[in-house]
Amino acid sequence: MRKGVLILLLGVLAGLCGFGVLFYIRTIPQRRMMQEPQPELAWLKTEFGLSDSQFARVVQLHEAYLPDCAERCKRIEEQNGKLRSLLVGSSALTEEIRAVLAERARLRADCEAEMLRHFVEISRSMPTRQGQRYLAWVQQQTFLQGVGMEQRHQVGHNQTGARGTH
Amino acid sequence: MNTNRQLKGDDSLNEALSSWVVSDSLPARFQEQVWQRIAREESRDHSMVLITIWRLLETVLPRPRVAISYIVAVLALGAVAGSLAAQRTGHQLEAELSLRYFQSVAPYQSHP
Repeated sequence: MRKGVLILLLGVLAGLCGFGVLFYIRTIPQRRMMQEPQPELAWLKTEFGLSDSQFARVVQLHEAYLPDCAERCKRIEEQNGKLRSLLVGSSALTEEIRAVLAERARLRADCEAEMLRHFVEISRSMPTRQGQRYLAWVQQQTFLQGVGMEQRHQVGHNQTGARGTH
Repeated sequence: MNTNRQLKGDDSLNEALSSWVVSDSLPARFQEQVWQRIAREESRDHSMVLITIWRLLETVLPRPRVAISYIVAVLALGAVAGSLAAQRTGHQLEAELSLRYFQSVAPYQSHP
């Protein structure tokens, strides 16, 4: 009887060991990636199969882009603050509010244009096919994805259209 | 001939049954005793399962071939489960890192 229980426990132990060893081995690349100074860029390197020199160029472009991006974000945030305070003090659409909205839209458009320029630069640092894949992916996730009101209106139009056909 | 006799027999049986009146009352705590018997039978079923498992452990598992097959099977099962768990963790991490990348370069965009 004791022998049977011992074998049973040995089996459970073997199962746990099998789980642990395979989990450890198969998560080594992910753990290495997380130990990098910028894990998201390390992921980009793996995902798009970049060589060390290509990766170095991507990191350089990324680091050059971030301060300008932060500056643009700061300016947009300033406009958001202005808009917030104007909206608190007014119950009508004033010329001042309209001007702030226009300025914020202009800054966002600049931001998007710079972002696209950066994406194109990054894609050119990659092998051709991977660069195309990267560009298609980032564009899909950013410029080509309906957000907020646009998406809601899209749904609204679809529903109206569906009702119209009945 | 046989059928006629049988029909007659059935008729007299039906008559006897319809005229039968049960005058005796049920014994005391009859229902309770029935439920107790059912419970006893059920617990005997459970203990039979335990006894079977016990016997398997006692007689079948210690056989060298069975023991080795069992350990190898559980080891393989654990390895497959570990591999699948690692795969799932990897996918989650990839999703998280791609999100972090977007948050760093496109803070004003919707996140994927």
